[in-house]
Order: sequence, then C-alpha cells, then structure tokens
Amino acid sequence: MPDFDEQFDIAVIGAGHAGCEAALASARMGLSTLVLCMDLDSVALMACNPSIGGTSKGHLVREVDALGGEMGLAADDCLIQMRMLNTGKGPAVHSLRAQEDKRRYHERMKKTLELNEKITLRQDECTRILVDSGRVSGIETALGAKYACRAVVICSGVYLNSRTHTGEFNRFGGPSGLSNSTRLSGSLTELGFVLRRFKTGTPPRVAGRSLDYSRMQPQFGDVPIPHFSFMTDGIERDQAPCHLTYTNEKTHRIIKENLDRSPMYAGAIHATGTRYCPSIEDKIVRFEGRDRHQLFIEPEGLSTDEMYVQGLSTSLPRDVQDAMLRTIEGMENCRVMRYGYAIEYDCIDPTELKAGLGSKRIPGLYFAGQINGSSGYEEAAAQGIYAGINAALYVKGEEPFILGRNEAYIGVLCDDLTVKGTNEPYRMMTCRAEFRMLLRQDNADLRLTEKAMRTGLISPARFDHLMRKKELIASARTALDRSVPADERLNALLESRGSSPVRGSVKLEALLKRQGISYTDLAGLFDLPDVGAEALEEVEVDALYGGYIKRQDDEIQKLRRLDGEKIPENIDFFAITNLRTEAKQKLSAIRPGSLGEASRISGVSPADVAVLSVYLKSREADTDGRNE
Amino acid sequence: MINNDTVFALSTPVGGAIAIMRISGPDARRALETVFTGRIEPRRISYGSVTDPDGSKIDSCCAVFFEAPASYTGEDMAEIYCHGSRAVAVRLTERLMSVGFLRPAEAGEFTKRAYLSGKMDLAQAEAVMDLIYARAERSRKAALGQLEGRLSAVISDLYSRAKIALAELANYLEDDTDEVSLDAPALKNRIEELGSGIRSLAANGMRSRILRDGARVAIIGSPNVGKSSLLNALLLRERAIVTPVPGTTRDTLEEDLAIDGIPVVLVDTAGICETPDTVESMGVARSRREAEDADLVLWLADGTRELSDGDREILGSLSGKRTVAVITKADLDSVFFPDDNGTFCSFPAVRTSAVTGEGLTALKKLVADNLLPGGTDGAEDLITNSRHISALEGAADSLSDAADALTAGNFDGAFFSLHEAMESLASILGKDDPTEDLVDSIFADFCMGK
Repeated sequence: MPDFDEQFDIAVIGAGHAGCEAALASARMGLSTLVLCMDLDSVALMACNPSIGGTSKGHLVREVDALGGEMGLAADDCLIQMRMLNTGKGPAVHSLRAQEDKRRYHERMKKTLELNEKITLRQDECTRILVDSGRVSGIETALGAKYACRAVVICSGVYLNSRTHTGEFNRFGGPSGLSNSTRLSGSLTELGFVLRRFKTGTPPRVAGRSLDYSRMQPQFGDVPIPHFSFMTDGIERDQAPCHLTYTNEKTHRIIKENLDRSPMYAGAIHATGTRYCPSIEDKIVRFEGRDRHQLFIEPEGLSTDEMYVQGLSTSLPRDVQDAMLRTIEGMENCRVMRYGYAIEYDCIDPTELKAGLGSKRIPGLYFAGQINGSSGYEEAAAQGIYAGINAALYVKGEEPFILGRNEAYIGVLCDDLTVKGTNEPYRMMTCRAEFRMLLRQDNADLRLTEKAMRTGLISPARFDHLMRKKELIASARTALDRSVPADERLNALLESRGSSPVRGSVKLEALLKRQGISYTDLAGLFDLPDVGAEALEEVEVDALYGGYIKRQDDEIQKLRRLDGEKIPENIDFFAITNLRTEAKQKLSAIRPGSLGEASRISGVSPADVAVLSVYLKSREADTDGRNE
Repeated sequence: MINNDTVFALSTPVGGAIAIMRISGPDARRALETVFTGRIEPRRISYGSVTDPDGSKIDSCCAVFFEAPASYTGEDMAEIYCHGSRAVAVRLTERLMSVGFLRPAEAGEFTKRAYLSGKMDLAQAEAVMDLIYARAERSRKAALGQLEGRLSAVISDLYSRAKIALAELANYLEDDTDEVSLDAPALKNRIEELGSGIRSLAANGMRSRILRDGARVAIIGSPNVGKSSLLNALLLRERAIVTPVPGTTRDTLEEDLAIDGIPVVLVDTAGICETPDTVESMGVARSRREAEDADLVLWLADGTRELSDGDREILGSLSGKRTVAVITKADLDSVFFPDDNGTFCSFPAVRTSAVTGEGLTALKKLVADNLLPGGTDGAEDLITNSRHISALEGAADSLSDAADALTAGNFDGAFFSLHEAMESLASILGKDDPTEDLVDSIFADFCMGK
C-alpha cells in the first residue's frame, strides 16, 4: 500500500489504563501493534486517585489478571500499601485496594510496552480513522503520518475535546495541564457516532509537610501484604500509611456560601457527572443532614511529598479550596500544590457496540474505557484487555471472546454498557452483578483462566499455577467427603463455636457448611491435607455459598440458552408484525446480538422475546428450506 | 427457545364430566410413571389411578402416552383423563406440581411447542405469534386493570420498602472506606415487618380466590362423632343448591354448596377403612392430609363422651390450621360444652345436633366468618391473580430467609434473599430492571465512598 507510511495489524489510540491492556493483549497475541499517545510521559497515568482496587474494582483487577493482563502485576510491583477490604462483610464483597506510587506505576507500565517486540510506542495524536469498503483500514495523525491497520482500539480516556474547570477559570485542555485531542471527535462524528459530554473531577493535592498527621487517624496496610495477581509470589516491603480526617460544619459553610462560584452550579458545565463519586459541593447539597464527610490523605508516591485528598473532589475556585481545606482538622496550615478541577469530555453511546466492544456498523473499530462512558482505572483496564483480545481475534478471523454475566464482572460491565447503555459515567458495583456470590475476587482464575486459553494470553506458568490450585481444591474436597465419628473433641469444638453438637457420625463436608467452623478447625481434629490459603478459601466459601449458587443454576441455564440464540445482523425488526412498537424501536436502535441481549433491553418484554424467538425459528426454517 | 423443561395444563374447562390433563416435554413419561398406577405403553389407553406419593388414591382415571414425535406437540406427551370436578382438577394439579420437575404451561404453550418442534408448517408461525401477542396483550390489560388504583399503590409501596432496605444493605456492603455502618437488628425488624405485611396481602389474595373459586372445608374427626350426619344435615338444609359432583365419592365425599354466599366444597372424610387396629392412626393420617388441603377445618368432637386419645391426636395435627370446633349430638346429654368465650380447645366452637338442627345456623355463620372475616362485602378484589399471590408468598419467604441470614451475620446471603424478594415484587409490577432501581436508590439515598 504505497499511500501508507507504515503498516500494523492493530493501532491502539491512547496509552492509559485501557490502552495499555489493549496494546499488550494484541501484541501478546502476536499482532504488530502501534500505540499512539499524545505524551509518552503520561502512559498509564493515574490522573486521579493514587489507588487501584476497591469493592468490585478489585474484582475487575483480579479478572484482568486471570485473563493474562498486566494491571494486577504492575499494581503489585508498585504498591506502597495494600489492604483486603470488607473482611467483616462476606466473601462476595471482599476486595483488595492498593495505594500506588503513581510515578513508578507509569514507568513500570511504559517499560512493559517498550520491551514488547510487537509494540511500537509513539508520541503523536490520532486525528482520523480511515475506513475502506466499510471496514477500518488505517489512521491519520497530527504529524501527518498515515498508518495502515486492520483494527483500531480507541482508548481516548477524557482527552477528546476536554475542558477543565476550576471556579471561574476554565481551559480547553486535558487533565493536569496536558493537551487534549481536538480532531478525533470530528472523525468519529463523520463516521456516524453521536458524541455525548460527560464530566468527572479530582480533588486538590497538598504538601505533606504542611499537614499535622498527629491530629488524624493513620491507616496502615495489611501484613502479610496481599496481592492482586495470582502470579505474585508474596510481597515484602515497608508500607506507607494513609491518614483519615473529616470535613466539618465550617467546611460546609464555606462551600455553601460559594456555591454560585462552582462551575457546575453556575451552569458553566453542561455535561453529565457521576452520582457515586460526587464532588464535595454535590455531597454538601445532596446530603444536607450530614455534619461531616470522611477524607483520606493518600501519598501520591514515595518520591514526592504530594498528598491526594480523597473525598474532596471539587471545581470550586482556588481561594475557596484554600479556605475550606484550612477548616479541616490537621490541615489548618495546609499548602495546596495542585488545585482540584472538573473535566468534561466527549464520549460515545456504548450501545453502538457489540458485546465484544467492536462497533456494530464499522468492522475493525473497537472502543474501551472512558470513551464508552465508564469511569475508573479498573473499568478501563477491563475493557482494554477485552477490546484488545476481540480486536486481535477479529484480525485473525476468529470468533469473538465473550464473557457472560454469570462468568465475570467484565461480562456484567460490558453487557451493561453495550445493552443498557449509561446516562452517566458508569462505575462497577457488586450489586449490578446478579450472580455476585459466584463472581468473587478469590475465584477469578478458576472462572476465567482456562476459558482464556484460546486467546494465547495465558502463560504456561499461569496455567500450571491454576492446575495446582485445582488439584489442591480437589484433594481437600475428597478428604472432606467422608464421615467421622462424633467424639468429645469434635463436640467441644462445635460448642466453642456456638454450633450444636452431633451424635453418631457426621460428614466433614456438612460440618464445614456450619457458620464459624473452618477447614483449619477440622484439620486440627481429623486428617485433612494442608492445601494452602488459596485452595482453602475456595473450599470454605463454596461450602457456605454452594446452596445459594445452586439456586441460581436454572437462571444461569436460561441466560446461557438465550445468549446462545444469535440474532442475525441484517434483521428488520419493523418487519416483525407482532412486536409491540416500543420493542421494535428499542430493538432497532440497539440491535442486540442475541435473544439474551434483547431480553435485557428495557422496554422489551418477555412476550416480545417470545415473538422474536418464533420469528427467528421460522426464518431459520425458511432459509433451510431454500437451501434444500 | 428450546424446550428442555416439561409442562402440564388442564386442557378442558373445569366442571365437565371429564377433564383432560396434558403433559408435554422430555419428562412426560417420567411424570406419568410417577403419578399414575396403570401400565404405560405408547398410544395405548390404560386404566389406573392417580395417587399421592404415599399411594393413596386421588382419582380413578385413564391415561395415554404419546412418544415423540408422534404427538400433538411433537414432544413426548401424556394425557390423563380424570373426573371433571374442580376438586379433582385442583388435587391433580397439586400432585403434578409436587413431582418437582414439571411446571404449569403458559397459555398457548402447547401450540407454540408444536410449532417449534416442527409439527406445524410455516404458515402457522404467524398464527402462533398472534397467539403469543394476544396473550401478552390480554395479560397486560389484565395486569393494568388489576394494578390500577389501590393494588398498584400497595405493591409499589412494598416494592420500594424492599428496595430501600436492600439499598441500605448494598450501600453498607459496597462501601469500602468503613464510613457506613449497618444497624443489622433494626434492618432485620424492618424486613420482618415488611414480610408480615406481604403475607397478609397474600392471605387477602387467598380470600379473593375463595370468593372466586370456592373454599375447601374439611370435616374431620374420630369415627362415629357424627361427620356424615353433619354433612347430610348441612346439605339437607341447602338442598336447593346442592350439586353433587360425580366421580369424587370414593375415599372422600365432596359436595358443593354455598354457605352465606361463599361457594364451599365440603369434604367428608367418611368411608375410610376403619379396621379396629389401625383406625386411629389412619384417621390421623387422613385428617392431616385433608387439613393440609383445606381452607378451613371443621373438627368434630362427640359431646356425649370424653375426648379419646384419637381425638387428641387429631387435635394435635390441626395446630396452626384454621379450624372450627363442632361439639356434636347436642340433643343428647353432653359431658362438655364450649368455654364461656365460645371456644373449645382454643378453637371457635359451636354445639350442633344433626337431629334437631340446633346450632346449624350458628355453625354456618362461624364457617363464613372464619373463611372470610369481615364478610363478603368487604372482600375487595385486591389480588386475585394466582401468579401474584404466589409471587407475594415467594417474596415473604425470601424476606424471612433474609432476616435469618442477617441474624447469622451472613450479609451476602441476606443480600441474595432480599434481592430475590425485590425481584418477586418487581415481577408483579412488571418492572424489568429492578437492579437499575436499586442502583438509583443507592445513589439517591446514600453517599458513596471512594
């Protein structure tokens, strides 16, 4: 192709958390991959909080890892504190969160891209997606380069036509003083995508030495240090603490008195913000009854004194930020280093996408991360690896890699985005997953690693590790599958745990199902193999939740059956006379890929799905008939 | 949709001489083998009975089995021809439900299955879709009709209370900053309160069902306490409206009559085999089964002799059952009477004489009052759809599971059950995405952390 400067299999636009995973997936699947980033010093930039994980987000990181992604490994390498959260609440919400050294994380991830032979990492701005005969054929850049490629993954984050706001001041540009991308939006519009405007924000960063930690509550990491990656072998290092403090009536008064100077409240921003991670001004307005809000002081890294004020996201003017910070206990002499701001940016409507995050209209065009209306590093990384895998499979001419809602949070995330869409930056939550007792962070490898074998992203070491874990689980289960005589020692144990005594003999398995009885307890009395913490956790949680999970079996079967019934792409829903008008409109707008997706569109009733099913069957039979 | 489940439905109107129950799907043969005693051979009619799991007979009937694809639906299919009374139909339906691998067919489903398994030609596809569409329209209209006004308000209120309880729990579970605490005992109380509200609504639904379909009233008692006499006496006085139902007078005697405007199926447990050795235990077993099925039990005690051990055993089997105590043979010398507050063994009680007719009017009033407290006038058709009633009962069960899980500190389990309850209620309201409502509620009512 003489027109093109260079030729790649895949081009990834943007090298944030989505872009890095997409690029690594594509390259590790053997495809030559171009990664364009507007500023190579911002590869894998953590533009907001210096942490990775949290409830449901930690689940996503574990899943990315189980699929052979990088985020978990990088986060383990660069963590300065790690905690297992929600340990008192139940295994479905147990989640890891790491405080990260931002600079190291960026360097670690950038180097991983640099070292991959299949990746060309280049600083430039993508200005246009080239389409030939309806398919992606290449891209053009601001520097005038033209690259041929068969698939593009757009991971533009918050950089498309973005504008930042701090009080009355606003600037056309990206986060943290970086440039924005001004021409790609136009190319997307040209390709028929309707762009929307979303907004997010970040709190001020302050100088650590200006804070009085003695008046705050320190929060330390767990020891031994837990890790995200199933492949991390144990971490030994000193951890840095975070510090907890609170807003108070004085803080709230200052905010209320200056609301008219907030760009959101003054009407300068016309974008949709998040409800779950609201700015401090939103919290004060919406939860007026609360006399204080929690704030965490989190280090941005070990090589800097900058501290992130978690919980104080704001776009109020500079002087108001100074004043409100100084009302907070331990921050009376606080010196701001970077002021908080709100940022608005262009994104697409993700219902334009198929389950695998590829465009329904333009083969070869994939999207991942905030451009799809999501928020969060973890949500971005999860979509990144998913879109990267599917773009690579598309180039190779293979079937897409789709995870069901019953298989992974990634499945829930991408199904929610592509089928239901979102009217605000979408955040993962455990309550969005109907099979949340099954989709736990502890079993992400058991759920996903084998399934991902066909992508080629699973290293032999990772596979061996999984097989060992499965063997250990099996050996524990075998050992538990036997009856033991009820003796005094056993009944003494049961009594000490508030459990009723047994007579005759009893299955060990049945004892493990009891609340408060652990594998280790039983191993103290009976001959049980030492299987290690990971396998032990599986066996124990399964004993407790097996009943609930089984109760959802029928639902899972139904889901699989409906998701397995594909709807042809060229179907004309308006030609199906018996569908209700609302259903015809919704189905035509979203164009679901399967009956399962159709059934999850709001406004499509079970009767509509039944009609659709009969129509598809008759169409199938019709086609068969003609072929004969 | 591929049919790997097996469904059944009564394919004839209730009240004819013969009723046909159809079963279709891969487990049709197993279903027939489970409930029917006759020999099963494809396409051969066979005589036998439909029995309960303990072997006791529900009805004598004929049945035939069709092997796929030579059947109406093209699947394995069975048809049971039984007597046409409502009582038999109800018990046969319950029996088929109880086997565990069958579900009631949806309207039009047999036809749909026939089409899907290729038993109909393509021209009929449109007709089938019309059928589904018509059904959906009908149930939508029915749902709208039913959900207008007060019922809608009542269910919506229950739904939003379940949603708020779940949002509170979800917010606690989702929060990873230790900012949110949970008052588990208070939440548990709210869940229990909600559960009992839902249960009483379901009971209200039962009440509407009684008005529409009739109530089952069982006459239970030891031998020779006067069961048959009472039955006859009640029937005699209602002779004009008695409609004997053929085909049911085998082990039990069933009669339709109206008591104070309430349609009632009166079930007499007379005719049980009363061999001297086993009489008491069989009487108790029979009573237990009849009591389980009945909406109301008339427990008869012979007023002329002290309560026997058999009487006491029957009494024990009635605990928790809506019961009226009838002290019989009031025309003879009685050795006991109802207490001053009109009860006997803590059941509302009345003395009757089948000979003089004494107490029969009072008995009928007691029956009516206990079946429909507040009388027929106040019985507003709040809920009559049996799907709604069972959704409400399901929600109430889930709520009590949730309360138990909370007590045990099993928050994930509590979330699971509470979510189930919310979904049950959502299904009545026709809401297709309760999770979205939940997420909205979390954002609206709670301040999420990190």
